[in-house]
Amino acid sequence: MKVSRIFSVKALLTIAMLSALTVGIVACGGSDTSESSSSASSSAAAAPTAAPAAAAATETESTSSDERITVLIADLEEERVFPPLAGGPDVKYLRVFMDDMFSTMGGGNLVPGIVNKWEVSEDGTTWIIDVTTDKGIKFHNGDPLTVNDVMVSLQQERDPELATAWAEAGCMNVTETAYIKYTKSLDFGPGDDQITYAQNRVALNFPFNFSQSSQDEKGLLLPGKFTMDMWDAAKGKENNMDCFEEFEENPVGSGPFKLANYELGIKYSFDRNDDYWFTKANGFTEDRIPQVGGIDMEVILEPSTRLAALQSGEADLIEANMNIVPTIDANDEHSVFWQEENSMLWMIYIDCWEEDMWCFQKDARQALQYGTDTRAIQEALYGKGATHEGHGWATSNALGYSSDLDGFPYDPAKAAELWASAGLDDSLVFKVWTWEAGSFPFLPQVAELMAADWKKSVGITVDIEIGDQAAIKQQWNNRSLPGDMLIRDNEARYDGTSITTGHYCNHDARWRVNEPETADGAARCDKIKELALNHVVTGQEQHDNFNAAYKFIKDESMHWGPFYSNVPWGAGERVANYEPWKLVPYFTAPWTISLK
Amino acid sequence: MWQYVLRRMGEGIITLIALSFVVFGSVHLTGDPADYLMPLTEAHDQKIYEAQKKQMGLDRPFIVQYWDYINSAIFFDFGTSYVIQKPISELILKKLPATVHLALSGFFLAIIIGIPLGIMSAVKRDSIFDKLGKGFAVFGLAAPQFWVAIMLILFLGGKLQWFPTYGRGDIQGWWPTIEQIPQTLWHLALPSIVLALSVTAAIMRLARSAMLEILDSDYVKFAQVKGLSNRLVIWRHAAKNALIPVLTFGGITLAGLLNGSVIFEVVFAWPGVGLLLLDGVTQRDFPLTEAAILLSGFFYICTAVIIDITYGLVDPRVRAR
Repeated sequence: MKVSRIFSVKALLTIAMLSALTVGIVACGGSDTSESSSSASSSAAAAPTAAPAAAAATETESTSSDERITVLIADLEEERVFPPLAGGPDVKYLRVFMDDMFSTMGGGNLVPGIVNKWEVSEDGTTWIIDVTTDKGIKFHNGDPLTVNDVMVSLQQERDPELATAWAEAGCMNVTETAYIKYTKSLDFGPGDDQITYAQNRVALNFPFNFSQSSQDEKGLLLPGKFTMDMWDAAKGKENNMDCFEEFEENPVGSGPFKLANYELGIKYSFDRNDDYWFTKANGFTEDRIPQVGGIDMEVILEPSTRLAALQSGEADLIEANMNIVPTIDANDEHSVFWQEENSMLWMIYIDCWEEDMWCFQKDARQALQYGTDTRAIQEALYGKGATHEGHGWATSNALGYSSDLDGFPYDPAKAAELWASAGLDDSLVFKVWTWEAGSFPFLPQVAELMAADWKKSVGITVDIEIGDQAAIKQQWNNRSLPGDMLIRDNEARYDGTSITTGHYCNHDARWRVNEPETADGAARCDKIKELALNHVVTGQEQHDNFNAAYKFIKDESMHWGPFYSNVPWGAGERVANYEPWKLVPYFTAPWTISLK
Repeated sequence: MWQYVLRRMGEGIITLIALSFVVFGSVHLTGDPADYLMPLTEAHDQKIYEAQKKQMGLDRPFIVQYWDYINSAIFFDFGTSYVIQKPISELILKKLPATVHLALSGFFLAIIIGIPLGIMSAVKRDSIFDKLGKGFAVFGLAAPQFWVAIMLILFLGGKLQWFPTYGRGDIQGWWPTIEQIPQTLWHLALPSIVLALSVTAAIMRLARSAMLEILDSDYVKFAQVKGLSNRLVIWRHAAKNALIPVLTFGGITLAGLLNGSVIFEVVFAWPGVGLLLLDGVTQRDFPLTEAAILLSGFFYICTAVIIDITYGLVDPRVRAR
């Protein structure tokens, strides 16, 4: 039978054309209106005034361009655009068009900005802040900045009355009101453009927590009138999740870019704010007028896809990782800019406060550190992607760091000696829990290599459990994993006051590593308070106190963390420069991006 | 016939109700979403926790929660996402166009290539063409789609720059504007090819084996002996019957594709419902997870019912069972 003749070239071509036609039919049709939103245009430029006394000028040569760039980021929390409803990682895009109440130069270096002066009472509980109203700062909708904007921004998180009302109306989750219990009072005054915020606890880290360097969105400045108008309209309704929908349709910030339109969790388009207020001419520390015409930011989870987009020229700047850095480096026209001290590695002995637990003894906890060649692990897995310095959140530019906080040296003999002195042998078995983390790659590999080192140094075999981050955290927080170890990542930060307090001195903090309700735990907490937390001091004195506390913490070894990650940003051929901030997680300093 | 159709539809509805109960129950076993939302840095405040549970409606008995849920779900109201705090149906409808576009384009590509290739392989049994076809089928089924997708993105997108590397382009919603059509097609091309690869391979294998069986049957041989043309024998007598199992498989496959694919959506940054489901699961967003799984089940059950009814229409023996 010669049936093969029927499959002629003509037939195959017909099939191919039909295929193309089908794809076409699927994609064709009428038009659909975008659901994206648009922001109002900004208005007049700010009038230059005298520079604040504390300002240290930084020269930035501007090569401004009207060209737009495409930035690909790795992930987002993908919640709502209105900051009180957003998640921490959403500052990746929120900070592009919004300002924080306190400005920084990165890290812990606070400089005058929206708030130009801040002072704390002698007991460390009450802050008086001065709001900058004389520099022509305006929101993108044209509203001038007033002290009321800062007040509303603080109230939404710290005012028992307003925050509770929002939660009760269903405008936000009740859990967002967790911090109101610390508020004693929140008032205007004593002077014009001043706010006094009193807490029922010592809170020296208040300015840092509400600054551009913090790891979450709580310091973002809301347009006060706009926000309260939305709330007035929503009041009285029950379970209203759309109280602030108007903001989401017309996002208003005062930042270096304006949010022109967006698809939540997918892409965000920003236009340059030519009237941005943070300039040297306006009396601030540096010029932060963007040097590009706009940013199209898109979320691409897969690193290889981000790399391909950079190679094809579809993207100009991508959040890279150690796996793809060599490929970027191999292209002469591409470059890598490092964002240093992005995340910390965090090894936690879980709930080691019961006397019959193997990790109750300090010798055992230290033994595993002496028995781990952390430098070799860091070099093998990360190269420049991580730095072998610091202890947990005391990274090399953080408050309280000194080089003697760096990890214990690799000494298998010492490890074996400490292990034996703790009465332990090679029969001990425990689990090491970890997960695949976007901000800190290779955590499972770190666990594997550490386990191999422990086998060699103290002879133990551990079970490594790689799982879902949320599920592991929930087990840890519900106290279901006592005696195990957790290897995780966390955002690096300059001021470790909150995390130190939560870990060592708060019985109710679910991620505590110390139990202050036991004798040992109470003694540990008292010591840390005595060394650092109880002192109302700033500057070098505060640094020294924290340094002493961190040395004590390192010696106690309830947790450890021998290195931190640096995030590489891959840049395409159009990008001349980018200077991401160190010690501040997520996408930072977009005004430093310049084109060739 | 109507009795048969009604019976199959009734069975489908019962299956869907059973599925909804299993999904609702099992999702509630995976953890406490109110607990998940509590800030870790702060003390566990029982008052806030209880209020959060109340806000989410989790303070009510399980069966009451289920009853309310199912009553609303019938009208495509799946409640509000705990995390995104938007109506679930709105979130799904926003993501559905991307998933449907990709599923349909990949599926039709697979049908249009897979069926002729399968028939051709059977007709040219043991020829070079058949061997190449079988090789392609093995590759298509065995090669991990994730790997194939990345390789194609890096090579065809990154290096040769023939195709865009990610996303859908400027289109939002169901329909592109006239100007957006070429760009939309271009963005669809690479993900559709990868999506079609394994489906094409499976369809090709199925079509080939079905066709081989038919070609050996007496009535085909009789048709040839009668002197009918090869074209007529192949298409009118053999292929028509060989395609029945292929279409059954195709229907179920299409239902699967319409549920979105997390792998494709991650690799191609394709904003479909698959990623929405992933977010729902990882963030303990119960209503979102339940809605996504329920819709998935709905697609499958509908497809199965339609296929059963179609069988009943063409084969009286099925109706009689």
